[in-house]
Amino acid sequence: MKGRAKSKLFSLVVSLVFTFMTLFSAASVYAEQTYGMVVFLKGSEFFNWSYGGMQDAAKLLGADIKTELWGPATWDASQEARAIEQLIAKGVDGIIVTAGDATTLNPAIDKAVAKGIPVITFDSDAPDSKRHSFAGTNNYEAGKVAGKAMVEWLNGEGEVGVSTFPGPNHLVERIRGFKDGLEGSNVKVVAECNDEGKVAAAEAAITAMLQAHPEIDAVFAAHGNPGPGAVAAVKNVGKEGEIEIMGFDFGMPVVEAIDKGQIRGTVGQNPYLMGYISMMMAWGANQETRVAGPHVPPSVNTGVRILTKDDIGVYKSPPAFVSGK
Amino acid sequence: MVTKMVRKLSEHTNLGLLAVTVGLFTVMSITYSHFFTLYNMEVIAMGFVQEAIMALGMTIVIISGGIDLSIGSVLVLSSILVGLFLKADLGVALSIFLTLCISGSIGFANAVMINRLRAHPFIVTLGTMTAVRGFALVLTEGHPVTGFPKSFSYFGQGYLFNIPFPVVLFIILAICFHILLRHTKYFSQVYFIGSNPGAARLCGMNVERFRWMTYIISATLAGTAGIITASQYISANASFGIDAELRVITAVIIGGASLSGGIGSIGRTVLGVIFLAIVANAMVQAGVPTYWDKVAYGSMLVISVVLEQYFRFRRTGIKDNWRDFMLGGN
Repeated sequence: MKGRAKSKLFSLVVSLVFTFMTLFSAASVYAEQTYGMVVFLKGSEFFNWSYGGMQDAAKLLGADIKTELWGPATWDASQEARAIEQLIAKGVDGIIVTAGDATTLNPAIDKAVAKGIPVITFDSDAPDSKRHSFAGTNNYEAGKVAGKAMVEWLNGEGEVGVSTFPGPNHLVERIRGFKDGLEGSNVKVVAECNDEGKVAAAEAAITAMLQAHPEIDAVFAAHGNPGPGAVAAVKNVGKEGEIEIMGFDFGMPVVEAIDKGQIRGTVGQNPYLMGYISMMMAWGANQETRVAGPHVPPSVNTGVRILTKDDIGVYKSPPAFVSGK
Repeated sequence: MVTKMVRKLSEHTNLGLLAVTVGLFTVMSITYSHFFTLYNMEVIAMGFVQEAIMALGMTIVIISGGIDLSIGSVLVLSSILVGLFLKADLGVALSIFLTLCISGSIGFANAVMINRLRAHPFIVTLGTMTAVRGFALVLTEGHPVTGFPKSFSYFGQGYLFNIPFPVVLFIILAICFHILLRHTKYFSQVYFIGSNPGAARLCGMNVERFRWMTYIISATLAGTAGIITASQYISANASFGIDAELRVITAVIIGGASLSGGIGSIGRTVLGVIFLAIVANAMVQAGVPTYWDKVAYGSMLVISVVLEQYFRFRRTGIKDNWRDFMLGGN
């Protein structure tokens, strides 16, 4: 009887100790301020860069400012909304979120703002919500930067084929910007092909475009996937080294192709800056100044940079935030 | 005395899980000032209510010896369909009715395939899970469906007696199913069918027809959860409810149902649901490093299973003390 009671007590103690250990291993019990980042794909390289920016900004703002990263490991906007609700209940001081879709998070974001918690969206916006600000790429400007770089590459004269697919507004904006960036030079867009947003379809579509327009000197991939497709297509028509390729973003296949000299450069967005500037704005919105109101701009363009073989190196190893702290 | 009480209690509920749940709740309430607040209780409940509703149907399916992997997909299809019906101006009542009918018919289709093909429910519902989610993508082409009438938002955002409506709905459904399983002759067949379908058939029970019922209930509840989701977010997106079936099955199994059928109860499932809802919230409250949350989650599952087995062995007298339990063979 005595032994039984003992073992029962033991089992309860074990369960409590384990619960304690798992929960408090690195918990920030006495943090004075906590800011949470919510993403729709936890573990994604792109968002790891953003979280790195957020952490660095928090470090600059003070040792008592803690950051946390939340969100589902598989794309699910409703799970993101739940994460925001949990953070509101926890009483965090600010929420930085990239929206899994443009509408699902609206009720949760509005609830946070109503409770006085600043919310900044980054990369992917929830424009109809009451969020304080959005930090991300202005796609028209990104296209324009790409266009100007293309003029430089071709020494002011040449013909360009563009790979894109119909639908998404950000692609329409990029291409509009790209064409405006070419203005004032003798570089022209002579063809656009539909890559359906996929690598394999891009190879077929760009090959066909290059065959129909043998005069093309360069290919502009308007998003991440057609870059590697363009490399294969140029090989298919036997014009390796003759046609310049400009990719978008720095996914691993694009980085490798740049390393091998198959893609000359890529339009790099700045996820690090998105996280950095969002943290600064969320913190800033909490500060009192002589003039009332949260002083944050409605949106911030984090810009793009043309990355070539010389400066792509830094993106070969994304930051690893094992502890997420 | 205490031993007797423990033994009695462990016949009715999952004692290991109850201990961990109460322990976790107490520790969290003492340590974190934001945990034990009315607002956080609401967040805990609302953060798992869709899974909770689906878990009721899953309990019946699992007791009957089946499994239904398609519920996460039925949830998303239902949230999209109700959105599309509302946008087609069919009115709130008709939209919900049609959505529930279509959801239920997916469950019916599952059961018919399992009966006719004599295929394992795992494979059949895995198939419908993939096809239905694919269909949801076809319907939306990846864009969210949004812009529902104001009156529709009550189902996900409204309050009844100061309690969120979805939670009230869950409580009512849980009580109904508890009474059905415990106190009606027809539904309590499920235990016999689940533990020995062959014998049940020999006793003259219509196992096939009973299977229709279990899968229709499961799918209709998933449809209900989908309608609540759409109403809660005033939006529907083909990404909703991914992995929801796994969370639901976890809740049912951790509550103490057996995947081999014949064992389980609504009461135990409710405890499983409450536990998972609290864990999800505790992770955020405690700020568990994000990549560790699954590790913490998994270890708590294992602890509760170990404790439950321990109490079960104690009850049945197979192994009498902790040392034997941990170190002894089978």
